[in-house]
Amino acid sequence: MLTCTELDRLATPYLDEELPGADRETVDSHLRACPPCRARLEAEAGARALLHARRGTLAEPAPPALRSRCARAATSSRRWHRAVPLALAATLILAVGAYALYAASGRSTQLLAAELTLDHMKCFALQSAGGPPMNLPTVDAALARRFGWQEGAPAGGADAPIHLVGARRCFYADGAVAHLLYRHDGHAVSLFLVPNTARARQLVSVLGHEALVWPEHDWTCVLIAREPPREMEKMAAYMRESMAR
Amino acid sequence: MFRRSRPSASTPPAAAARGFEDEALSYLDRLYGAALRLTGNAADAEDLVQDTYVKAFRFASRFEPGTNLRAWLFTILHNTARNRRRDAAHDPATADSEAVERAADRPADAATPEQLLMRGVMDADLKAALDSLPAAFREAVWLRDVEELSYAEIARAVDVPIGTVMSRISRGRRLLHERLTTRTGQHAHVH
Repeated sequence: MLTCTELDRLATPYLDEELPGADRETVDSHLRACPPCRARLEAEAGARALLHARRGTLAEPAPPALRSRCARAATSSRRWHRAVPLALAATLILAVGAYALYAASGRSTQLLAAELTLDHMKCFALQSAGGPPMNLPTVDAALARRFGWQEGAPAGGADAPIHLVGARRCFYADGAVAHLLYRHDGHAVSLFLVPNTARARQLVSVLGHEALVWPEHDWTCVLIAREPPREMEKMAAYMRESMAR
Repeated sequence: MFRRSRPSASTPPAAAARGFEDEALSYLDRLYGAALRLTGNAADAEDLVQDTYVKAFRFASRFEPGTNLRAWLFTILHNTARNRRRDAAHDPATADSEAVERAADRPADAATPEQLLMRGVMDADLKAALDSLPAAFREAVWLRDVEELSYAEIARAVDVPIGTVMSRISRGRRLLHERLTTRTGQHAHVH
């Protein structure tokens, strides 16, 4: 005989007809003998039946203006995907030249993210980073020597969501920013390490990419990819975990 | 955890993209209906739905053909709504759930489904009762009973285990029943 606590766990799948026959029977026999559980089940069944009966009237049609805005989102998304690879090489080289004019600190995170996103796109577009993975000690040594970064680069690998394919000095802030290039299922991911500035955690959408910014010691990390926010958070969690080791 | 769909080799990309967009847009009313219940007002619901479509089209390559596109769109809607709420005073998925735990555990009012249906609950009352539920319960109940998604699809959309989905649906429904029977005062103690 089922206890009332056990019945409580089975009640919802029972009502939704997601319980195997044998389990249904044990629920049925408990219900026959237990009025409080029967009342509990009927209350839930009542709300469920009411919602099912009113499905048609509960939904409200979207305003026509919203429909056309959403349809336009599809068109502009298609245009963006087509246009970017062609325009990238020409426009980004020009954009990169302007980086050094700005200082790394005291400016909006949105602007920082935009500039690093341009750098991310440039690096992956112009120096195809899909080659063999770099030798990790080499990257670590370069990070320590050039940037004073002693933590070592999160390397990725077989079990990790991403793998390291390159590292370079970024033009941004007079070359004081380290740029680690990764692949995630073949797609480009960048991690920028910006020294001497700890910015607040923020996720910004910029230039068709997501940029996740967070502080790490007295550095700011900026993770850039064309991935949904949830994937960004997972990759960032991996990065943070690697850096903590 | 980091799965990605592979593009189908048989369909030309442009035609596949149009097909994807057309199907996605055919769910506009349903996303808007859910967004209204999640946000509580038309302006926020419109913004939420538009953001959802912008992201869906941008990340179209992540959709796995053959799976439920409508459920995938609700996943994006959920995440977009959650990101928008992030600055709010509290997280409804946790704080509210705890706050109503005791209320939901009270002995249920014993109206039968038939009685409840026959009482002629007004749509406005039903919407108001739904809106009074904690956000996490309201969302789970809506995705199950109005959108008819499976437990597994809801679990993926809101990123919680299936057991939690079932318990949110269960508590949400019982709380909804309680709110409705309390609202229509004279019918509250039929049994």
